[in-house]
Amino acid sequence: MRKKLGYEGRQKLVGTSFIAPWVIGFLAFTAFPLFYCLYMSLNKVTFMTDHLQMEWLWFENFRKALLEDAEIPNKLLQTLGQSAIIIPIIVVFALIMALMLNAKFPGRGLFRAIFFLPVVLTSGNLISILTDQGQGTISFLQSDTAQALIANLSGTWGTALKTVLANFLVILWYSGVQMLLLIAGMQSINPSTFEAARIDGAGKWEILWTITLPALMPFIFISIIYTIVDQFTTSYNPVLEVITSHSRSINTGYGYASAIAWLYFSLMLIILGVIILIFRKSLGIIGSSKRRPS
Amino acid sequence: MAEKKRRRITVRYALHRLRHIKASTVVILLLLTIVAAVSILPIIYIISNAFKPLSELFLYPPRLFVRSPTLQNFYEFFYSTDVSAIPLSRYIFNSLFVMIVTVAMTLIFSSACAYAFSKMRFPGRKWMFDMIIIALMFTPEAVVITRYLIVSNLHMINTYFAHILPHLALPIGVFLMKQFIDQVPDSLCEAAKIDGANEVRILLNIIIPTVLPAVGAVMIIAFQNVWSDITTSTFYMVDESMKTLPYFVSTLSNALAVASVARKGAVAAAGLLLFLPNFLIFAMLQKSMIETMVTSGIK
Repeated sequence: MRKKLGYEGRQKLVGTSFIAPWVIGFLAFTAFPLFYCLYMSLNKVTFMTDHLQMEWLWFENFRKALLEDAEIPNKLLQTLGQSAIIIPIIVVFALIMALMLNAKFPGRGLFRAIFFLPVVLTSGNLISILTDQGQGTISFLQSDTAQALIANLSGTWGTALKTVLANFLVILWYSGVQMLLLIAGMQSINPSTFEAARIDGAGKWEILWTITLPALMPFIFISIIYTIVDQFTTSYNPVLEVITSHSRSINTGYGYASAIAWLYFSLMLIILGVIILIFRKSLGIIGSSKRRPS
Repeated sequence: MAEKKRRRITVRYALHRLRHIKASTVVILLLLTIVAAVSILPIIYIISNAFKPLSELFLYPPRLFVRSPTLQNFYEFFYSTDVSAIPLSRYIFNSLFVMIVTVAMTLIFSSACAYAFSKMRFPGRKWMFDMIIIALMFTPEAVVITRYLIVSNLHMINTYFAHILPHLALPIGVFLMKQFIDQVPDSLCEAAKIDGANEVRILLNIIIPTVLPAVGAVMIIAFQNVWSDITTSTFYMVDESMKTLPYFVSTLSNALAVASVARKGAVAAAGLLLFLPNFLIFAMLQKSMIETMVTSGIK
């Protein structure tokens, strides 16, 4: 006879079985490597033919990275500065585009489709094919057609436009997913709320600030988190290049690379913590799912 | 006669609608057109690059459009595998197989996990989700060697498992899904439960259709993660016949630096071929997602 579990017991059982496959994979391929990496960062790691030789160093690797190696603090600060600029730009851009794409106008579907394209484009291979002619400058900007377009403008304006275009493309490429999330968020707002506001005499601008944006907060938060993760983990990131090069070098070795990786990781956690603190008031969604009064 | 009259009415109606387009709409359309034009440029570039003869590929400054298109690059690419013992089809099969299995399993695992985190109560729920948020920041580059140790200890070197398993536990996937499922009212699930649906059915028939945009986003992220990845081929596969297409293309472009100049054409053709699945995913999601987004009414 089947034993009847109580509602609570059943919830526990089903819940656990739903998360189990994911959590096992997560522990094996993400959590464990991460902590093993922490352990290695406290060691000097040498590769022998059949095993790894560890030599316990305490915090020597961290001290060396922060105090002796001028490159590491520099690169970390550089990344921090860059992300402080690029992350708000990407999120605000995505928000503006999402607001525009959510308005009613002819050909909306087509435009949405076009903006969706960069999302599928941003896989590593394609970007490297596009950028293989110079670092950062996108090669087709130097093409005849683009040059002809730019040449029509006078000198200073032309250069300015070129810089904007080059950066604009990067912003465009990295804001596709956020755009998508924000549009989805806007559509989850009940249309009757807008109607009620309109009947009460609210203007478009007021509706945007008092209804749309507050309701979008959870989605803006998701977009910011996604942007941070995306920016910090693209393999074109300067710090990641340093980590990769150190893990291959014989002098410094994998222990040192792990130490840099953990420094980098902590930096990201601090940024994430700050964002969560900022949004805590307007959300309160971290860790516990919000129970909305029905 | 009646036909003509009807047409005249339609035309008049269209004109009427045109006249009522507001100035703000025109501004929006104009801005969007500019941005759209820019975002299409890279795609034009990839496509026309694949058909450029060598003389045009090495032209500086490069041209956006091809002048005298040729299929030479594709021949070059297909014959480039002649030197290695592995046929091109093998790389393509590996890539497609790994990609399809990984994306499908990532979707299943993340949605089940996110649903449980969002709507169920079970021990350890809170700290486990905190852990996922921390893991969002995780960069695979930093732990290549530790992952290698795990893969080799599980005896997965040279198997498809090593291609697939490391990609499955995607923290951002669970995070995105959970935040969207949080927005689905609990009363909807409870109503289904009262009607006798079990958790699997609630997930498949209620949750997934309501959070389709999130499903699409996770699908794209998972796809890009696995499709462009060459680390699994580089580190976990010793046997050449187990490696993937992007890996093969990357060896072509590396060879380019030292040896043959002619490979540049093959790389350009490969770029277009690698782009095709991206485009297919786009075509697929564009239907199921951008359109349904309008009706994904969570009230």
